[in-house]
Amino acid sequence: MNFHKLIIIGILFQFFDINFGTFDIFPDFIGFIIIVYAFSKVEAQYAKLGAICATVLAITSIIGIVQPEMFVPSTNLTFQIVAILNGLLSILYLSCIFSVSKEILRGEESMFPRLYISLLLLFQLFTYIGIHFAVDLYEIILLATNVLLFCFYIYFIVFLWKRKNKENRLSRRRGSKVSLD
Amino acid sequence: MKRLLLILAVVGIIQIASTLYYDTKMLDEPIPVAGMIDFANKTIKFSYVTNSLDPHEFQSIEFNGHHYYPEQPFSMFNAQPQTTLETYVKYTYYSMISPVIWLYDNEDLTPLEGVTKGTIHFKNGITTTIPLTTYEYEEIPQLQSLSSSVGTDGTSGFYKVLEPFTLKQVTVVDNRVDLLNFKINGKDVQLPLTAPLQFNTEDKLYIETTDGEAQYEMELFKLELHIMDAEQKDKILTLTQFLNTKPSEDWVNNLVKERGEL
Repeated sequence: MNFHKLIIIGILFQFFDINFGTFDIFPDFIGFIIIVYAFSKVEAQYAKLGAICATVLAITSIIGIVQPEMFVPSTNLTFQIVAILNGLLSILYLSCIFSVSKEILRGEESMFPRLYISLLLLFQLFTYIGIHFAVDLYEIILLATNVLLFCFYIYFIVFLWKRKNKENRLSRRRGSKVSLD
Repeated sequence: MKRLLLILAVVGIIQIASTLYYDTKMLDEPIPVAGMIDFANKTIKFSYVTNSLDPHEFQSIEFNGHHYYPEQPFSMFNAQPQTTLETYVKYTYYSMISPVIWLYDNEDLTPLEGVTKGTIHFKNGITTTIPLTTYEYEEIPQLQSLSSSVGTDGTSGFYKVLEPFTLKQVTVVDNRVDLLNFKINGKDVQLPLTAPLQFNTEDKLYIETTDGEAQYEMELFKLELHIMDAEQKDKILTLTQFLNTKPSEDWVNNLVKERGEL
């Protein structure tokens, strides 16, 4: 199974939130563990950093199951700071995914990673700055940004799927080149 | 990647600073604003200011040991007091919650007799005392209300005279409201009155006022007609209207500034 395929599986675990009561049949932490495994399989500059970030996110995800109020919007200062760090770590680990992907598929340039990371950064910033805005304006901008982020998230999966196919083709080409040699 | 790490660090610092600033604005305890026991309409109305994020949740209001809860189940056969518990206004840092308790049974009014304040209980165990005014229904045999309108652009009332009386003066008992128009049988009358006016049966009276900021849902203001009735007795006829404008963000912020340390 190639890097992109494992990342897609991991991301899908985070995408689907199907709950039976409080039990999530696709727990996020399993997705993160799969992503840690994906990073451990490749030799790339930021694979190790990505694996560390995904490991921390897996641990916070498990803590989130035990202490769900940690990820519910709250006024508890400690939980808010944990949520901020968690958000920033998520951006860092996505950047590592993009970076490793770029290294695997050299020459496959795309504007999407930069756009997606910029949007996530803006969203992170606005979520905490916007609370000082008028409530109506904050809620409208937050809703619009959420819709935009959802579209980007869907495209992110499509983006990974395309890259998975390219990685497959690349592996096959490398395989046939080795057998010819 | 180094640039991204730097950006993430800056974003994180801004986020934490913003959160800490918001935290300094939070109220530890809700601020009671005002309230009324409206015996005429069998309602208890009041309001309090709380945080917009994580507001203090209302549990009950207590008068002389008698609690009124919002969760009382509705029964078709045994009407229970009902409470509407809505956010009255919501601004950046603070919200005003204005519960209205509808009483169906006259027995529910008994514990409220002579009450001037109530104790609001919140779900987190905090209690606060709120001063309450009272309004009781007053029969006005001299006037019959034909129509009235209320809105944020002002209020108006149209009345028919049923019994003759002499009007000495018209006043609004609220500094948030001004009298705009006073008409008798369609003709404008200047206020304050310079001389008493005689009203006869079938005369029509029209009063128009500006609106004012209501400190809780369905707050009333009073208009007083100082009259001399048919038996030559001095009387005050009290007419009421609703205030319809919601308090501004500045008003709420000033209230927090003044009383936030309660």
